[in-house]
Amino acid sequence: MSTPRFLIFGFVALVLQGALSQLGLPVVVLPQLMLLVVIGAAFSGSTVPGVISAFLLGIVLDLSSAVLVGPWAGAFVTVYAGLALVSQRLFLESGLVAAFVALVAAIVAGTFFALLSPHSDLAALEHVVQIFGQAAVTAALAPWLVAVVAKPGQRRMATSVRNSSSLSAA
Amino acid sequence: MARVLLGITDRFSARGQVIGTAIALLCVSFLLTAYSSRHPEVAQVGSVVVGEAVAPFGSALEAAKDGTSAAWSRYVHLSGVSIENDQLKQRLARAEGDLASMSEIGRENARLRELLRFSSEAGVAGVAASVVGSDPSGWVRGALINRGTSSGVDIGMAVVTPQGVIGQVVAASPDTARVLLITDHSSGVDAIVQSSRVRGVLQGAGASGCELRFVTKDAAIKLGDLVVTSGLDRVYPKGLVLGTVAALSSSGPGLFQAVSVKPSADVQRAEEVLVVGVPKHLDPSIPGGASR
Repeated sequence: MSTPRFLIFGFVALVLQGALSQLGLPVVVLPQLMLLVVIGAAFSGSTVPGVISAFLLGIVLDLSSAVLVGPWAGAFVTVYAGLALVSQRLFLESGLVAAFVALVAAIVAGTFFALLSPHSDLAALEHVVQIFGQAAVTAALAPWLVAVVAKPGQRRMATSVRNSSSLSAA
Repeated sequence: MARVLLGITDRFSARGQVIGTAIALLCVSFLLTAYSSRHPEVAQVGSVVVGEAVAPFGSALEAAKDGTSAAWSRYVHLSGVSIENDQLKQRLARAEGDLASMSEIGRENARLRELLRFSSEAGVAGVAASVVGSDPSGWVRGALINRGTSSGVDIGMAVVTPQGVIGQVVAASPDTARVLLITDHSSGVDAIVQSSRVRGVLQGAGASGCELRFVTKDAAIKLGDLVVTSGLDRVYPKGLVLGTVAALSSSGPGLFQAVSVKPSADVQRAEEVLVVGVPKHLDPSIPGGASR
């Protein structure tokens, strides 16, 4: 995915996420739309500009809270790098895989943020519920939103490269 | 075969670059986190840019939401009318829409009147503002208001409603400001219990409201006691209502009792607020204040 496309999707996700929050949606069921953009970008093929864009999106999300800079940036980079490591072993076309990846990624990102931020406490049940609740909602939306974000051509290419690699190995 | 192997090698080296960059950026994020926790002005300055960029979209979505709810109310009210009365339905729909929007304006008017009355009764002059956004991540209990430095709103000012205190301004741009709510875990307010004058620090506890910290076990507090600002933190004017004591427990270990406080104001759902107090940079009692 091209860097401008990635950043535009990220900005739209930020606005929508803010709007959902403003509508009074309980934080437990607030989907991590920006994280889905990061997952979609990683599914399209992991690149150095991609990981830098993930970092920048995290910084923007951090800045939108005006308190601490860094936790979301670190969480997004971790998720992007993690997906870069495993994406070739995943059947990216499957919605179930996208949902599972989003579930794990949202738990990892939420935990990462909770560990670094003074606004959360992993010992508090409220925050553990929040991490898992948000992860479940994010996972439920993943099959559709990741498909919109990830460029189909690139996803197919990634799959075909993986298949050709498997054939060569065989 | 060689081409395939070369391709795989290239992919591995590309992946290595991504991982290497990610590790470097992860280190940067740790350093930024550590630095910004000691220097909050970094986040405040950066958030000005983000706030200015996002605020117009937030306001537009808010307007769209109002329009949608008006259209929905029209639809609901007309669902039983027969198709022959189409023209009448349209007129009725328009009237219903107008009524809905007038009713909304009326409610907003009432809230603003209450805000003005509170401002004059409490003797606190301030800037009236509307809440136009909240924290998108859901982890920080914050709000975005539509008044900034051009209206006299600045960092360190208190944000209140007639029902009670909402929070304080932590970042301000010319047209918007970010508010950290009193229910956020990193928020603290110097508070006193009105009846017994027992002092403590009101700390945010997320969804469960707030906790009054550092109250010794022998302090005379009872359920329903009103907790107000002490004014000693130089952020919140003295005597503003924070909340009421909702639960008490002295059974735990340590010197202090656990005091849960239910905020008087609905901090998550406030729509019109008043920003009061003196900006930090103009406060002569703060070292370095009044120098900017």
